[in-house]
Amino acid sequence: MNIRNKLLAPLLTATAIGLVSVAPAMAESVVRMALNADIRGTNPGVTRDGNTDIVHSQFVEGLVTYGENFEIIPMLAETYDISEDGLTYTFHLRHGVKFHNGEEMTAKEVEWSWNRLAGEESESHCKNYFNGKNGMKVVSAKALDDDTFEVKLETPFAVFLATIARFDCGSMGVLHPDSVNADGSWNTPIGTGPYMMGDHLPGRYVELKRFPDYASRDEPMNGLGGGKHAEVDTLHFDIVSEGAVTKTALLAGDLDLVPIDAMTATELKDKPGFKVDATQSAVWDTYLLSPLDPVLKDVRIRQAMAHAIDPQQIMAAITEGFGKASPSPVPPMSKNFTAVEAEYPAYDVDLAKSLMKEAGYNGEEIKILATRRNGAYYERALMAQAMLMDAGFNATLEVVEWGTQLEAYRTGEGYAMQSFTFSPRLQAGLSFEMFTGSEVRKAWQNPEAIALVNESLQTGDPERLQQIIDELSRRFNEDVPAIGLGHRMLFTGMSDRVEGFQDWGAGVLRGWMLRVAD
Amino acid sequence: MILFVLRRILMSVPTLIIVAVIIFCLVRALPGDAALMMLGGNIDDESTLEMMRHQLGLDQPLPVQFMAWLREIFSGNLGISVRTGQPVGELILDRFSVTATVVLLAMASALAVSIPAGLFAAHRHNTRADYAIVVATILKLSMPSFWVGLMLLVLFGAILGWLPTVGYVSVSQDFGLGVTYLILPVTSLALSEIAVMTRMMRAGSLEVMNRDYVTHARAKGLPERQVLWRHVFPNAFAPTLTMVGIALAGLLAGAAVTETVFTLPGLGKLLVDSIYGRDYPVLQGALLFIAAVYVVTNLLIDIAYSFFDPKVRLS
Repeated sequence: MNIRNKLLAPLLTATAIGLVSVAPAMAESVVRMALNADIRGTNPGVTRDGNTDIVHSQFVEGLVTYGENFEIIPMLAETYDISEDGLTYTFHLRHGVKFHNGEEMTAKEVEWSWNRLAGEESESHCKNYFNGKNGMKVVSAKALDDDTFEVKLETPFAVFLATIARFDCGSMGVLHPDSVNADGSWNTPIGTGPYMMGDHLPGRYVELKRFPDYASRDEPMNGLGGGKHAEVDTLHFDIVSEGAVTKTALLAGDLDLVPIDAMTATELKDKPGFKVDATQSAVWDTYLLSPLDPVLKDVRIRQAMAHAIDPQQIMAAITEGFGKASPSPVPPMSKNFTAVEAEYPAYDVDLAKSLMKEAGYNGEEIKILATRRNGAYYERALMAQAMLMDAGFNATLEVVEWGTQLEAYRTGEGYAMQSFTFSPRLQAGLSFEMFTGSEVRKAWQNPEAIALVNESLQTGDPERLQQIIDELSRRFNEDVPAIGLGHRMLFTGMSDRVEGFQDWGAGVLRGWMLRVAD
Repeated sequence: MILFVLRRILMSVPTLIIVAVIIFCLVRALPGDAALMMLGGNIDDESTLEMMRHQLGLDQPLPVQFMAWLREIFSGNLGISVRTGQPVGELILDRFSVTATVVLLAMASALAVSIPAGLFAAHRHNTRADYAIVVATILKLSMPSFWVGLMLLVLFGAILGWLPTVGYVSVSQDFGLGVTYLILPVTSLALSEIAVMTRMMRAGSLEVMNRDYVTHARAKGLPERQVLWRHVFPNAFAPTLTMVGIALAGLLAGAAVTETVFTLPGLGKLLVDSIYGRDYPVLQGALLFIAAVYVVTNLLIDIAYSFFDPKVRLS
């Protein structure tokens, strides 16, 4: 804690003499950060949410992970081979990788860790990605020897590696079996990451300690992988739910690095003593259109809405000019983002009006659902409402609590359009899959689109994948199941004593890149 | 008095059972799917959602869920938090200790200021001092507590740098450091209560000051200080005490705004987080605990009445 008792210190010294402990002479470096909610637990892939995944990513690693441009790169695996038929994945493990308890990693622990998350008895949601319930089925996963781990699939699935690298599964993190108690209950994470679990005082803070025996890869840092050379001794996360408080604490010097909003970024960027990082992420801000709404069944109405809304204006407004529109579900940093994905329906109010007239639109209500949650859901909805009304739509706005909006999303009912956000999907096929399918929550229920998405998840041919993604992008613009807005700008404010920080598209903190200036 | 207390405790049992039923029904009536919230909203498949519902016991019929919760209550355990996996009872007590520390200090500070201020304003009725006190209390009452808290943080944390702006250290852990974390939230809460109680105390004192026994006390030559403290204060304090009881119970039940602004891991913050996270066991447990806090606080206030008002008998 950075308490600067300029005037209070003498008073406290006088009144509580002998009780105030003398601050230890610390050579230890600390970076103090903020989480807007406490972590759900320390069990990677089991107790999780967005904040929790960020903390887990510092102490757990998987066989593979995501690189800067969302390519799959080896992490704990030195290399991997994929058989000709696409059914067998063989991972050759790195030597000299140590767990936080000092023991060396072998394929035996990899197998144990796989079964912990993907086994039949697992309480992790991740097992459903591999048990056939969602198409992909792993028929065997076993250690061949100390250095080799092999996974066999029932049918080829090109997204297998992308799936095992998922952040919500802790990259199918490899842990030491002592992470659980003798009765199988969870104890504490003993991973291989550059940081180890430290104190967690629920509702107060989480601390991670640098793992001095971390075995780094030799390559330069790349996304969540590559070389990791942690320098900061302690990563300290305070739980601060209110953005205004986070900002005040940063200004006071009590926090070093915090997520901020666009307005604060504008305020801080020229302020002496502070730095701002603004990075476009793969988080997709969009307007989902209900597949059940009778008015929106007519594609001309959906197209009219797309032409009535100007993503450029809205993105510029909500990011204070930092961001720009990127309506495609495929994030711009993806290798599959080409000129085709850059196209989207032009802002053309006259065209919107003629399409409305052609479709026989007669003032039916277009109910927009939004929430006041962080992420400008409400602001986005408000601006879209104004633009739709400008084009002649009878657009109404209903603001609800997040849980209520999620319920509407799940059932597909109670809205015509909703201001929504999808967390990063780092494979182009998954960028479409997140809203394409036959389930009621999915906005795009076109059978041809569903077939294309399914193929995109299975094909291992990069050229064919690009063709599919391009075709899906063209159909997305014609069919308008959702109106894309952009990929969210992530703003980070930091004290100038913190060096080395750089955000990336996935938005997952990389604590090992931080340094503290003397 | 013991009989009175025992009877009131017994009477609170059916009250709490009825409250438990209402809490359960209201919590289940909340819109939104707890399993979906647990998964962060972006679910990829129905089977995952079903698995989470099963883990949370939400796939059981409502009466079965209610009976399971009642069993947890009567066994002295309020369940396990679905968000953090901690026992609910332990979680609530841990958070309540933070809230109680802040609230009791704030209430004590508020009483220490507002009683003399209210008496003084009444004594100097229609003078500049009275007007100044009235204007100050109105000014404070018209300021949202969230804003006042933030301004305190900005002034004493960011600008002057005297006090910490985030985090919490309990006084039992480190007394000196703990005190620095308490000053701002206690001040923020106390300011609000001072405004309310000073006005209450002033109004009560003005009413009492016109009574015959006060005139009589003055006529027999008692010093003004004695008149105020011996004759005016005990009689004027009863309505303020009612207000203290209501405010104390309300604050103990969760000073959510103050706890949010000052990042205090208190009961109010726990309650708000459990609502947003649809953590049903914590939400139900915290609400039931709050109901019990109200019952106990009211009982203590009723007992306290007898000390200030001789007409009140505990029977």
